[in-house]
Amino acid sequence: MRWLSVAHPGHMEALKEIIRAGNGNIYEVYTGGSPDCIGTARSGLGRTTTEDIREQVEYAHSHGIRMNIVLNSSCLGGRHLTQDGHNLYRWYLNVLNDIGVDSVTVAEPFLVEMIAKEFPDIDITVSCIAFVNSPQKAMYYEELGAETIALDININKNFPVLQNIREAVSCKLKVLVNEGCILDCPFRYAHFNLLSHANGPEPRPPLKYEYYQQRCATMRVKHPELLISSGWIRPEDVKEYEAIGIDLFKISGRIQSVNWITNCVRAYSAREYHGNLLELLDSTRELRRLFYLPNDALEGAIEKWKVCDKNCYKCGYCKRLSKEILVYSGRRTPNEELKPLNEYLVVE
Amino acid sequence: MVLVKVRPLDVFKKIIGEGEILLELEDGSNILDLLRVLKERYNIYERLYLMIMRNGRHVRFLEEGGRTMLEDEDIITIASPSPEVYKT
Repeated sequence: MRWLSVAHPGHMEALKEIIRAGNGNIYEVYTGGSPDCIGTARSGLGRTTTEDIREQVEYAHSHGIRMNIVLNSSCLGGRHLTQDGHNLYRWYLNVLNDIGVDSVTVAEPFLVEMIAKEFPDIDITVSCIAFVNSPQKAMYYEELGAETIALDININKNFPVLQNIREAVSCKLKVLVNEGCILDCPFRYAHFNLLSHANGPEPRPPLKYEYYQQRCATMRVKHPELLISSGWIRPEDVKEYEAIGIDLFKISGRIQSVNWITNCVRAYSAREYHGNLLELLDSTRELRRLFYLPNDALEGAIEKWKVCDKNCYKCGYCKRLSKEILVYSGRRTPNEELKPLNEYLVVE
Repeated sequence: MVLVKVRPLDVFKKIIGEGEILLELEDGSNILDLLRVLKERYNIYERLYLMIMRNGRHVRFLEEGGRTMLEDEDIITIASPSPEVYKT
């Protein structure tokens, strides 16, 4: 059975490599749509045209893989409720429908309802940034027309809530396995709203400073236990989620390089990884240089998290674990992905 | 002439001072030529660590590396790690 939902940067070469790395486990790939129509909550490295998407839909289908287009702005600035905005969204969804896109990911309830009513051929995935974290919320979205719900990453290690949601809805449930965000991050809503505007239709704010990302990286350097209490799921622990009825496992990272994505796909396909877990997490890359979190040393920790009441102040398990197993490299020398400007110019 | 889009990230974005820039280069220019132009125009510190990607692909994985010829509408993403992380 296919069970992976994989980030795709949006160009054909990447798609081919990702499908190869998936070894028959990929259910769907997802990539951003046109930021001029509906933005997404991730910055894009390139701009995928409709023709690109059409070609890639055909290629994905020829390998039995579905194509999902991400339109998950957490803030549409009220545009969706204007006539012009509505017309634009309807036009763009018609285009996606015509080129055979299987599903779209949205975070805005209005879009869920609109697409369900007007585009019955397009399946709807509710984005993880709709923050579905309770049976009630999942039921609302299912009633609006969701075929799949990507759950809030903050409940990834909260098994009682996951089980309650599973019992409450019959739609597919998806968990994001490799996001490295802080548990109950205070910046999460504001950060996604910022990214939605920065990567959505004009006018885009000319940002001088990515406050949220830098602030959260600093917090994790100061409090390394945050790297462990985060909602990621180890490749080895996927089976625990399958056992409670989770259908799909989403690999994040569509703004990462292709080789980084395929490395993650291979690890999750194999359901094992022996190395620095931070290498699989879609988070600030400097953290991978500073810390080494040995994945093997986390074996069995899931049993504790399955019954954890998420009161970090009283528990302290992740803090103790971070002191025991987390290695701080302290090196400022980045690895081979980075080199100084003069080395590019002199060596080459 | 080739017209490429440079998308700076992290610290490099602060140095450039803009979210994106369009750069016109002579025909036959490669990624290293683009770096030289940026270095001169923005007075970039030569020990600044950079990660460079062409259309989402790391320069390390391009067959020609930094000598890869640029084409119209290429998107060159250049990132450098944030020193904020290291200060703590």
